[in-house]
Amino acid sequence: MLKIANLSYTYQSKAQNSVPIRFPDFQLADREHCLLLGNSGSGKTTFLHVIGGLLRAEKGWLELNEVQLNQLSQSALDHYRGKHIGFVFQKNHLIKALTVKDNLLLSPFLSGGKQSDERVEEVLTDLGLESKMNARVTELSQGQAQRVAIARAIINKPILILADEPTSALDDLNCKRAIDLLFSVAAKNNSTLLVATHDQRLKDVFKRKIQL
Amino acid sequence: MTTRLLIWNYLKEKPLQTLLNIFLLSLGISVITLIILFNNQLQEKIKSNARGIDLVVGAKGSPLQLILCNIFHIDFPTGNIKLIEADRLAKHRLVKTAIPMALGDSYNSFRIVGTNQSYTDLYQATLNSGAWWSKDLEVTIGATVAKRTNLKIGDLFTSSHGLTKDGHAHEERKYIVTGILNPSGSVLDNLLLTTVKSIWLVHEESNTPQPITNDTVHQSKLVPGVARMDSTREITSLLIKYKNPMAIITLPRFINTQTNMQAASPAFETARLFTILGEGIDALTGLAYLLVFISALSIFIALYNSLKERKYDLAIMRSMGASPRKLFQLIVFEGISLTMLGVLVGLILGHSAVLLFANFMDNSQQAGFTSLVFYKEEVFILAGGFVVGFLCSLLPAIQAYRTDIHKVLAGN
Repeated sequence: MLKIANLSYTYQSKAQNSVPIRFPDFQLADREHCLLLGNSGSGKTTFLHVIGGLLRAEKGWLELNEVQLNQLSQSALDHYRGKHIGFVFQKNHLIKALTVKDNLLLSPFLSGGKQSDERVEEVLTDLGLESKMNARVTELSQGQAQRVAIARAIINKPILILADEPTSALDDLNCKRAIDLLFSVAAKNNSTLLVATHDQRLKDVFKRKIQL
Repeated sequence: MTTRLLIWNYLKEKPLQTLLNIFLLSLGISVITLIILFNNQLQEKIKSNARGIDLVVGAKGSPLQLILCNIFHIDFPTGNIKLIEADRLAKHRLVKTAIPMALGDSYNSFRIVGTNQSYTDLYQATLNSGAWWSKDLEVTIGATVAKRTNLKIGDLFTSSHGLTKDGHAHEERKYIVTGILNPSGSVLDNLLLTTVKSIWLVHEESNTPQPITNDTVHQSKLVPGVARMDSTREITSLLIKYKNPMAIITLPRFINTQTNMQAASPAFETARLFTILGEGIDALTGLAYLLVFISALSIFIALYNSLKERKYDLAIMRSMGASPRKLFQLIVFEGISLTMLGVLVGLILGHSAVLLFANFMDNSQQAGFTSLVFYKEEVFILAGGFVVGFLCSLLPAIQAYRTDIHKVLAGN
């Protein structure tokens, strides 16, 4: 479902000599969850953002479910990303002005999908947050907030979930919980999981690993 | 989730700042609204009260005073003119109609006017009840007078000299109310109308009786039943309507140079009055625009600052599929929502202020301002609020448009 070949990205920078970052070639099958390992500064986040269409690679082949992402127009790319890709960031970046429910509904709203209360309930129930539906984001604990962020990433049933350091700030117990949660929601929504991390604890959890 | 709900939640997140911005803008808008309402209604009132009167002729003095006194009844007379001279002028070939006015007395601060039926025709006044005045000392009263003084048909009253309640009371003669007018929105609402001769009768102190010379052959054109050549009689002024446009040029000059009287044009004097008032209104309008400008600045700063706090929100929205244009739209709509709310509150405040003022003024005699009219300028205010909202959210919106999602979300 994901094919990457000869992909590179060059930072536009005046100060330094801009050297293109060359990404490794690889392919993923459906639901073939994968770990993207690398040290800080190795370009994991950049790679993840290129795959997710937050950055545009000027060269190479980037194909997701038979759509060539770097050939799409900007608005088509925004639309495609909103519909088919879910993001989980290291910080949860929830919108404080909105309730938990509205944070989740924002995702289908912005990607032009159907806003369904039942879907919100279903996702929150899967993550054990059904009681927090109408809570304000500021009332949540850190763990709850991260689960809401995961809920937001999967509410549109994305084909690909991109997670950037989802566990590096967590202790062992919560790390295990978080990654189990990601696996279970990915399985439930038929999504493929791609996790970029330097967290060595995750090495044994994934069968497929790519070293940057 | 809708765009509206999203904006509402953002506005609600900072209630104090939002309320302050709305209040600040509404203050400026309400002052502008107030000026528009008063200015328009004052002009309408002046126009309708001066309708059909081309020239006011009275004793020499301030021409503006002559107009204020004889048309709007808010100033004191400049003096008297001789009936014999007024009669001569009334027969001038360029004069179509001439209405005599005899002023000087009042009842409960409402002015008593000695005149004839043509005066009520100027304002198309109609009777609510009773009859028009016909004999001396009979009075037909305006609607506001009836309401405020509780005078009824058949009531007797004495007038007092001048325009205040504590003026010298003319107690020898009593007026009788014969009719009450329908409200006309003109000065008639605040007047008590009688014959010219009544005014003379009331002013004759008992120790100096001066019989009115009755002459049916050479009688005055202005005051029927009075000898034309009676040189002792005086009135306050004449309201003149021209026979043809020629008169505009020749008649005022003729009166001002060839007679002891003075001619003043209501159109010219009210225009002069408005240029005097205009400066004050301009200053107030300037202040109001300054308020609007400051509130626009405040809204701009609020949006601009909130953008720093919201950069993650904006980046996250982009990652969820929002196009840069959508973010631009969100910020612009938020700015416009704020200013439109401010404008609406301001319009309501402005109209409420006029309502309060009108109620307060109703207790005195100068009623007639209403808060329930809307002028086309208010549509311009709405449009202006829209434009101001757009302008002060433009720069923040461009910044939102340019959000670098990668940089923000990568955390450097």
